[in-house]
Amino acid sequence: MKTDVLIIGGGPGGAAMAMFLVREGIKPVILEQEEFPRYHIGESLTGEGGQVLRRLGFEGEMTKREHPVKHGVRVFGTSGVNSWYVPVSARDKEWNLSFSTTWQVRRSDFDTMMLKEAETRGATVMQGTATKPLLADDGAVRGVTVRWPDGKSEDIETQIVLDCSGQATFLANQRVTGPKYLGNYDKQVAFFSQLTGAVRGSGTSGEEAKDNTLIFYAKKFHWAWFIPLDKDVVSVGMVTPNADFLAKKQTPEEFFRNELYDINPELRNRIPDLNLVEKVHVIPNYSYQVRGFCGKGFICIGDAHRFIDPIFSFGLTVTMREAEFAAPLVREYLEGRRRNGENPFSEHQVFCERGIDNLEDMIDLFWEQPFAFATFVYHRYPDQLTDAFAGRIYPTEHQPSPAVVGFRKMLKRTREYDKDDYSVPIGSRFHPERAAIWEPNSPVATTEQWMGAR
Amino acid sequence: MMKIPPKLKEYIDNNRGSLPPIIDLDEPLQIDSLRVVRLVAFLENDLGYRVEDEELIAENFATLRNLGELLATKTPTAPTAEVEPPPQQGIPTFLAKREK
Repeated sequence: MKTDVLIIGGGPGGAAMAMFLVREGIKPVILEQEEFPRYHIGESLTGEGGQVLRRLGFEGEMTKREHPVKHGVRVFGTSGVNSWYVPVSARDKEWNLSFSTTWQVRRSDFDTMMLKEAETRGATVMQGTATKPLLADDGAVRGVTVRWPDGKSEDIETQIVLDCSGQATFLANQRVTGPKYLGNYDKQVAFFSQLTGAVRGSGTSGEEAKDNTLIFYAKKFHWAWFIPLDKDVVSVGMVTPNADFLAKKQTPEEFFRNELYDINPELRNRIPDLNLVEKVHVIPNYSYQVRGFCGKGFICIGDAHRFIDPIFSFGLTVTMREAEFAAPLVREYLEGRRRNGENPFSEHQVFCERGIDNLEDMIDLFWEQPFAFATFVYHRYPDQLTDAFAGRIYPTEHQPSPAVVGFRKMLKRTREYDKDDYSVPIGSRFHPERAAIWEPNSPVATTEQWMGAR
Repeated sequence: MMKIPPKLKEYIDNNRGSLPPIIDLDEPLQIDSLRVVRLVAFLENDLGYRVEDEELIAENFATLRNLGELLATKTPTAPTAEVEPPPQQGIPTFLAKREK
């Protein structure tokens, strides 16, 4: 089988990628191994994530489907008494700042809507699993081998593969990309479920809006999220250090039930009873960065190349924005441009990396120096951090802002982009002994094996 | 003898909930970290001190003595100066005053 463009993964990254490609006149094939609807975590959009959906024409549909409207994020300090609030914001063409809204999404519904709409607009969706990449003599990706649900395998030949496989990081695990590094937040575990009967804000807009995201801070690397999914159900998750969970020798559900209330006093007020309506899910060791995630015949999008920390809900936004940025480049590639040189998408790669580096510096400072962070948000750079929280993080969006520059100074961190291999992953600087876990010659084959070996 | 601006002492005493006014320089201030953020805003906007980013560590705000030592290194710009966030060139601000 042959197609110009193959998208691996039919989540919101893959679906958005397909819809942006259709706008460029390209009809891609999307390969998705699971049957939709299916459960997935990552249920909140930032301001710019909402803007991507508006540009794709989903505003009416999102309203019709009654996805909760998010006006901002409220972060409760340790005592649960005080909080700071970041409103969802937008910028117009003149870069004037205004309040805006975005959405919370139940992923089973949202992802199905996105994938179906991608199909309606011209993409072909096929159920199957990519098992291995096909490489040309010069190392360019020229397709993938697919296993269909009936167990048969087939090669799909393409001009370009867009890896939207999320945390499965298909091309990185197949070592088509550069090495995959562990990030800073690789010793934590997230436990999450959904529940009813939670106490939400009482307002219709601003800080008290009923469908806002609430974050409950406990201490470094201990926190919980609260994300309304519909009129009754709220997604609640808790992040703790791995060691705490292992020491207790409890099942994930026992641990979740026993520990959740200890995170923050305000959380107990908000959740009088733990009426779980979804099983307790667990994701451990989730932080990583893939180098060289673009090359001849391939681009990795969103989680397929990097994930930092779920704290401020950047995942969906970043993946959909990267899809939007990549679409015109894919068209140019198919037109025969960008064929010379080592990496046809090197500028895109550095552009995306710079954006997430800005996020990483923000998140690292939040964990390292929460007091300084709160001072920046509340007092020093409210506008600039409103931008960052909305997901305006890229070089074309006045970044790095003075706030991010300040974070770097406090972290004693420099970022350089003028070298061939752009900036060095921060995770590897903190943990030089485990740099390049996925390097072909690494003595440790996988991250999981590395974790077991410690 | 350490000089603590009376307005600062008054501000802190008024922001300790039900706790009595501070009498000992080494007594922990016991104000919640988010109130300390407001204290920084007060120092900068109302008293005219500029607190550097690197000085935004909890220890500097733990006791009146630590705070006094921090301020001893500084000269207030004006008694009631309003310290604006540094402007970023070409970017209009809109929300900076949302708190007021």
